[in-house]
Amino acid sequence: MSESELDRVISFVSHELRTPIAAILGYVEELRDEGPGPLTDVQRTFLEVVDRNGRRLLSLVTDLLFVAQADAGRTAFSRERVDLMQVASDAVASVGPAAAAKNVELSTALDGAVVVDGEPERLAQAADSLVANAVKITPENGRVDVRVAAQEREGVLEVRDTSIGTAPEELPSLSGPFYRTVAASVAGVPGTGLGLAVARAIVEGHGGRVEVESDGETGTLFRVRLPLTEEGG
Amino acid sequence: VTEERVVLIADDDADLRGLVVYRLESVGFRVLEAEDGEQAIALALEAQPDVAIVDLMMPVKNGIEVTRALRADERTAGTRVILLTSRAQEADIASGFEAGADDYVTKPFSPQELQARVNAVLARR
Repeated sequence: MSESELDRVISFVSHELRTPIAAILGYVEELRDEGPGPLTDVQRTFLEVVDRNGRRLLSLVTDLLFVAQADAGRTAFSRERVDLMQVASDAVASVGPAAAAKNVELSTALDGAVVVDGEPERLAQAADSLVANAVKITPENGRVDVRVAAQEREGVLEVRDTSIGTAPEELPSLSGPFYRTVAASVAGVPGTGLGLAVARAIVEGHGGRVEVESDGETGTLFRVRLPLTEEGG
Repeated sequence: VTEERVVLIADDDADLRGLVVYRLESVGFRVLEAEDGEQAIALALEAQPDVAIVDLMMPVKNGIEVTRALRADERTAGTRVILLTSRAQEADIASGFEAGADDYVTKPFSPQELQARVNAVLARR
């Protein structure tokens, strides 16, 4: 498939999937605003379910198209100075409530500023995804460690969880789309297997890489490496 | 007596058109519907709507072609154009503005937000 053909297919699929979602979410909004008539409590609850699932579908479609575009090398990112330390600390803050709910301890080791070039929202999305994933997979009373440091010419973000880990034979597949570990499935951890694929696509699109380590027993470590901003560059 | 404002919604999806019709009629607009680009142009030239909400991806003629056609005819030169897009079409948004569109809204959109955009482009005259 040529590049322009691929762009056309992605554009078409995006449009064809978003139009029905727009109708679902739009009509639900009208009903919830009670313009068409008053709602009972049960009706309101059911509409919230429709709305939540419509939005879930939307984020699936968005992630899926993003991964498809990235695989084809068709993603473009803006380039600004981004402090990885800030990105990590925001990601940790946003999972605070989820971690507290299962008594998962969040520990952070954040150095001074570690500046890389990239799109702030996308890098934040990748960090959020890794940290949220670590909290999700970690059982009650476990811990998640987040570290940021500069090493050589790279900014490094590490997220380590205390789940039962990832079997070595599963590691190569882990950040591919739709891959769910046996451990996650057995533990009933919800997910689509797209979050890590999106995070990896973002990091690689910024000239970095994602490494995964696990001994299959004591948790999994995700390490993001991104080129540091050249001083004076 | 205030003049009745007329809006054209051009989208090949009938359910989506229905949503726009419901929202805008409930606040007093008269809403016309077209299901493809060619129909949109014909209807716009005939009715001269204040605002045309035009889906980018439509059969026969797409949203960019519709925008160009409306801009090229003096009867619809004053019609405000809002394009409906999906996110993967960012390059098309630029072409839309070049063709003379006034604004764009991304699918899925909140009906309330669309209504606000319609009012905003009308106030811009």
